[in-house]
Amino acid sequence: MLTQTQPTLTLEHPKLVTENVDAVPSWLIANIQTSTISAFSKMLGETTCVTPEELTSEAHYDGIIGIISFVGDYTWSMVLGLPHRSAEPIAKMFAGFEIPFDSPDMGDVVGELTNVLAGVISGELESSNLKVHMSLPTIAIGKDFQMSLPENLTSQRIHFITENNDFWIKLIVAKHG
Amino acid sequence: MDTEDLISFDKISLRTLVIDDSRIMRTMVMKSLQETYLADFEFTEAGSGAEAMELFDPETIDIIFADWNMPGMSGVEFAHQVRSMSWANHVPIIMVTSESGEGKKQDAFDKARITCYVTKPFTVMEMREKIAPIIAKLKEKRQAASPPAKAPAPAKPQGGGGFFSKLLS
Repeated sequence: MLTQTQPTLTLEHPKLVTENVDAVPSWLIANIQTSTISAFSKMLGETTCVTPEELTSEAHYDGIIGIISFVGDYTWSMVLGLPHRSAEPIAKMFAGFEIPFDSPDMGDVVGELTNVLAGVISGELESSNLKVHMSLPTIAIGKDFQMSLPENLTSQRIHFITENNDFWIKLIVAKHG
Repeated sequence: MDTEDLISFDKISLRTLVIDDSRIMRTMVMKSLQETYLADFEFTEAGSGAEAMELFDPETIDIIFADWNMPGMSGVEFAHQVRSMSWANHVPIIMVTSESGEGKKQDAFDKARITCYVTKPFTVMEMREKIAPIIAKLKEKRQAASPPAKAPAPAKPQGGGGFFSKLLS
């Protein structure tokens, strides 16, 4: 007869343990992937998947981004990026009507997409007993712009594809090393 | 009352206050409500909790749909203020929010005494299931009142003079 010994977890929040203190923790990446697939599939009505391909370069970026920050047991920020080619179709799938890239409503839609996604993520984290509060979203839109981070931060981008479009999410955390 | 009974020709008219800082989200909430076919919704929109306080009058608003996270006064603060006024606290408040954590949801029920909680993203069917019992109760209340009268059209406040402004003056 086989017997299993349950490991004893002594940390209050075992999820906060990271394998590399200078990298975005794998538990956060896993949460973002699951939450994004779930939220976007529902919001857009299209299957959403993670792709290993870097479909959009960060250099000379042309598109729109939504930024939201999380504070609580773990502090980090998330950037949702819609490349120009995907912004209009994704906005239409979300809102149900055409929204031109240059209209003020595009910022409104991406702000709401970011906000809804952040809500799903924070709900998942809360269910793992992590306290989390999210900020209001901030939007940046334009052509040929670049995001830069201070030296004490590290980031990782995750690329997603829907049936006809793509977008990415960048996670930004403080280096602890 | 069965939900299906609500899809009938005698739908009630509901003067509905929709509060969200996102114009797109207000539009999506209003569109979803219309697609539930549970009532004839007549909408008044507010872009913030403070604006909603200006527009809200329990004599001219039957039901409220409020976002939680908004600049300035949040939806929860708005609901708390409405609930603290005995003459206005009968109006159902439905929180429509991206805050999906159980703790936050419980806070909204406990502290702001909201009526119902709808998490974004939501489908029309989910919205319908959540609000059908609330609308059924409103319909029963209205039918019990005599004589039955059609609700007047929503009053647009003139010069920012809402219920609370009138009260203060």
